[in-house]
Amino acid sequence: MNENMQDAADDGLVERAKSGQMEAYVELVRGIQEKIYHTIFGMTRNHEDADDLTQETFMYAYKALGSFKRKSSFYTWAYRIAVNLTLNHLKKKGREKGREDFEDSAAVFDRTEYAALSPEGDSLKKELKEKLEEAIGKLSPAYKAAFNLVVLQGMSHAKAAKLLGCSESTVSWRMHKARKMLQARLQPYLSEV
Amino acid sequence: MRCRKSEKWISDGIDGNLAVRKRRKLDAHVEACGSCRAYRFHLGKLQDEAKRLPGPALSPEYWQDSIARLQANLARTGPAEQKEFKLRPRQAPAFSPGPRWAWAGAASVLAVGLGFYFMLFQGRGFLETSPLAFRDQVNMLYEKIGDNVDLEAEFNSLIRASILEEAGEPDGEVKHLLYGNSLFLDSLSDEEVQILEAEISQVLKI
Repeated sequence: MNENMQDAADDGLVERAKSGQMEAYVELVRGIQEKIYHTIFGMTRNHEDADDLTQETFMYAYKALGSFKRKSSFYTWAYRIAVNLTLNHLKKKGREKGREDFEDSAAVFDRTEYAALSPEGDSLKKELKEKLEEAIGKLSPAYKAAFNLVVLQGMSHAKAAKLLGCSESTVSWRMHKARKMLQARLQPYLSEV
Repeated sequence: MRCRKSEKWISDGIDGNLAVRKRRKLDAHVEACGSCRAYRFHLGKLQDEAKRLPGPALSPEYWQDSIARLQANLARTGPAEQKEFKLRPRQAPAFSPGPRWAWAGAASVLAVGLGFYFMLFQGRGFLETSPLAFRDQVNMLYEKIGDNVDLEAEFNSLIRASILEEAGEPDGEVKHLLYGNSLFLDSLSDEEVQILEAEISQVLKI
């Protein structure tokens, strides 16, 4: 189904959801929940937080359906709610977010790609990945959000700016600063690998 | 081209956000500059590794369970709201009146700095003066702002107000002054130029 057809189908579901048909809303959620979850996970790097915030996003969106004016697709609208809720969550949690959260959730990661690596030759690469996760986790919420949307989700600066509610040049600046910080923290690994 | 500008353009280039003309200029600089070449190489590697970061592998059962939990929560909540619903409730300002005055004061200092520049370049053209004082002042303020996004936005709006105050209504004159005088822009850091460009573009709707 192309994007326009998907939007039209979503419009029908939104209309039905607004009129009180919960199943229609659940259908909308079913189509986007994985994308929303992965976006949140990219920003929190924590499964439990991503799980909670995904639920919160869809509850919030449901309560706010009356204010959804269809200026964007339902997905974009929900996406923006997810990003805002996650940013608020990260701000509340503060910059001293412990790495133990990430370690706890590490069990659900797909580590299969590591299995293909030879333990000796690629230990530095593995270390770089771990350090990179750690360094991304230490970025401030605004930088982390921009980095996640642009690098991990592959969005343009324009689209990320729309979702973050700021200008394109702000996204560009945050990306530059985020990369500078990551590069500074990871320089020894980047030089060796 | 300065390396600081080159680093910003390298980042924009990785995101596909660099005009062809700038890319050519950047390539020429990187070709001749070992440190920028290393920086571009590092950022490229960083980008590749970041894209390959493993995400959580969740089973279909997890997604079913997630939907079931949502349905249970929705059932407790009742039907969707039909009325207008404000998504982002207005929050209290990020800083207290005291610091706000301090920032307003800082913006005034900037306004004087900008006014000084406008006066110099408008009236007599080039004048032997150090642009460093103004640049350092701005850098110091941004350093203090750090990662506080709200404060940064507030400060940017104060800069814009300062520019307007010093340069008058946005009738194109501000743009002419900034873009028509490379010396003014060269005296600023990339970040300052970026902010000024964004702010001015917004004011002039360009």
